[in-house]
Amino acid sequence: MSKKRRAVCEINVVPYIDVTLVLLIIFMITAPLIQTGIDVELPQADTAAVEQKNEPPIIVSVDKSGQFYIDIGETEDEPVNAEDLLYRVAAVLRNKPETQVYIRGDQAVEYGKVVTIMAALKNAGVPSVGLMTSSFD
Amino acid sequence: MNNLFKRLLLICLICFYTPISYAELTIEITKGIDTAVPIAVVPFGWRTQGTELQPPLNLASVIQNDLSGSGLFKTLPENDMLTQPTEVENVRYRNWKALGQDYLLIGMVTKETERYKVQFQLFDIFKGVQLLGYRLTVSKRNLRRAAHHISDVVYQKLTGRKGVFNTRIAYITSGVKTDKQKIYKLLIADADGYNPRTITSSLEPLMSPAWSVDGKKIAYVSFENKHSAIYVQTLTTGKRERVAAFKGINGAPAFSPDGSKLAITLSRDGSPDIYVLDLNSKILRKITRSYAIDTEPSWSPDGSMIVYTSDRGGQPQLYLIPSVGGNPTRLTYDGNYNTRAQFSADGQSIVLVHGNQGDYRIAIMDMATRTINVLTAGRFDESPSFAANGDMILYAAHKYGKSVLSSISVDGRMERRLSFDKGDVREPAWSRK
Amino acid sequence: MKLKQIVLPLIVGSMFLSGCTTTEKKVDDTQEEVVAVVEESKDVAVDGLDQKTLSIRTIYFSFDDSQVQQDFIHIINAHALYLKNNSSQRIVLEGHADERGSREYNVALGEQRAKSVYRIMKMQGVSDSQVQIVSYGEEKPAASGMNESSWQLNRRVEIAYQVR
Repeated sequence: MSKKRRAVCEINVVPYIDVTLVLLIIFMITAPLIQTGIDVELPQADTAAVEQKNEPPIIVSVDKSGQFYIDIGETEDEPVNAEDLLYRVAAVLRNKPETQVYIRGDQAVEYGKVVTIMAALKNAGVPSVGLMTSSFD
Repeated sequence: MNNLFKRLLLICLICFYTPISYAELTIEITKGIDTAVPIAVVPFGWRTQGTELQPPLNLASVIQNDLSGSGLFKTLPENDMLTQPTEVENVRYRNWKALGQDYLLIGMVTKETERYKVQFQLFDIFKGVQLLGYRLTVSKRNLRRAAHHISDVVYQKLTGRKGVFNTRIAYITSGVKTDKQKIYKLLIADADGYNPRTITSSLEPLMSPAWSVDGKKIAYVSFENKHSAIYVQTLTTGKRERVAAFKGINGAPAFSPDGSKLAITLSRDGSPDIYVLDLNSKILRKITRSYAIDTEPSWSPDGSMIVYTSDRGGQPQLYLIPSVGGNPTRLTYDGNYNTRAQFSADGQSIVLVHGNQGDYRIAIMDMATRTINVLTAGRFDESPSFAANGDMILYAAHKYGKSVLSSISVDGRMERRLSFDKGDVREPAWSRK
Repeated sequence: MKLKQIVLPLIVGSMFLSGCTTTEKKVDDTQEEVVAVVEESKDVAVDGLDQKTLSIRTIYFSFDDSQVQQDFIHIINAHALYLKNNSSQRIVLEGHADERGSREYNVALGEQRAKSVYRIMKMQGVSDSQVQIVSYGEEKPAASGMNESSWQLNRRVEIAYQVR
């Protein structure tokens, strides 16, 4: 046994390990809590999104000759005048203000005709008017 | 000059023209729920060999009022209907879905000589199926009842609870006649307040109307001979019978569930006590024997017990006593004023007037737990009466300096007010049938 | 001379003022009641009794209470004395209550009030056959307001002399 005292020149890692372990335990405990916190919010967002997808939009069609059709009301295959069309859209919006409206215009129809109906729909209070296109495939 | 005189005369006529007849009730929902179910009731179609353009009654509007008046449904305004189908073939679910409706009711009225055939169908918009379809044949007089019946059927299908749209209410009005004399009237009307009919009228007070359980008779108190007396009137014939006119008080009639007896309050022996009068044999039986006020009896649905108001303890409280007499048990300890109890049709609760610090409110008491739950927030609420299905309570309240009728759901979440344009309306009694 | 000119209008004015206060009091008790009192006093002869006391024919009560207050006992006694001296005179004691609380209970309360008045009369020797009791509860209010000043006018017993 040596009686000579010597300076300890190596790092004592024990407190370091202690602290790390405590941190580890804290993270292990809080990690699932943080996760559930997120979980609660997620379904809400989910359902809202699903609902929106489930709501079919109103489709306004404009054929080659520039006549309007709408898929709500008596029938979809008879042309309607612009006034009647707007009245129907307004009735829907009064009861379901978030309803989306899409315009399906024939490629041969005048650009101006589509813009007019789009502007009229916007004025009637439609939150979003979309234009439908078909892909080439 | 002559012209001026004529004009003055006209103005005078307008000023002094005070119609005695009462206008129909107006109903406003004063407290509703957000979860009201959207339903579209389309104006019914009309087929006739004759020349009438419309059926004699707009059934759809009656049904719309019934359903939206219940507070559980929100009806679609007719202006917003994209189409108005009257037959299944013309129903496009797409339209109603776009309008955010859950259910759709359509119908058709067909005139067949003197009778009217009414057919109706209810659809579930989400599932795209017909939920029910019925056909009924009625006389012109009963078209309104048919409409209420349709409301009942729809209500029961969609809520699972029995509807009460085809029941009636009785109430007392007092108004001032032209010569400043008061006139009291006992009226009955449909549950929606329409079709009011005067049962009796008097220049002296009328009080305490009570229905027999079968809805065929009404008992009431009249002071027409400057003294109280109890009358029983048969509604179909209008025949009335004076059943009690003893010395002192004759008041607070209540029919037994089987309709053979009447619980009444008499003070012929001194203090007011509860008696049971057999309507056939006219045998009178004294039920309570106290030196205090005993009054306002109401029968339990099985007829075995009577709940009543007594101030034998110094303050008016509710007591329960066997309907053949016996020992009373005190029911209420909460507050210093609990009166005018009425049993619900299932006997599981009673509705009462609960006084607290000078305010009188309608409360409901659970018979199993004996706990009191105050429902209304008025200051002078009185005369509560259960609907037959136990969902709503009709009562009288003070509003705009006059007495009006109000109804509240037993959970307190829905409230609506029925008011006339003039005069006091009070002491409502809701029929069980 | 000058003093007279000032004092005279003052006296006249004060008479007017006092006149006003008495009419106001009458209005409070509702006009109908006042009319009834005036009419009936023609029929009832007063035999040396204090006519003023006899002209008071309404006894007021406290809330939910049928005890006669001390102030009214001499009025009831005066009526009792008159009835005793005029054994063919009949009266109706009409019991009333204020609007608060349930109606049938108030009918009972009105009757108890009328009976309290009747008991005092009976002690003075008024015979049973002279007095009839009827309670209207809250059905015939004297004042229609929904406040204490109206209610205290409605919690009452009216002594109605029957015309022979």
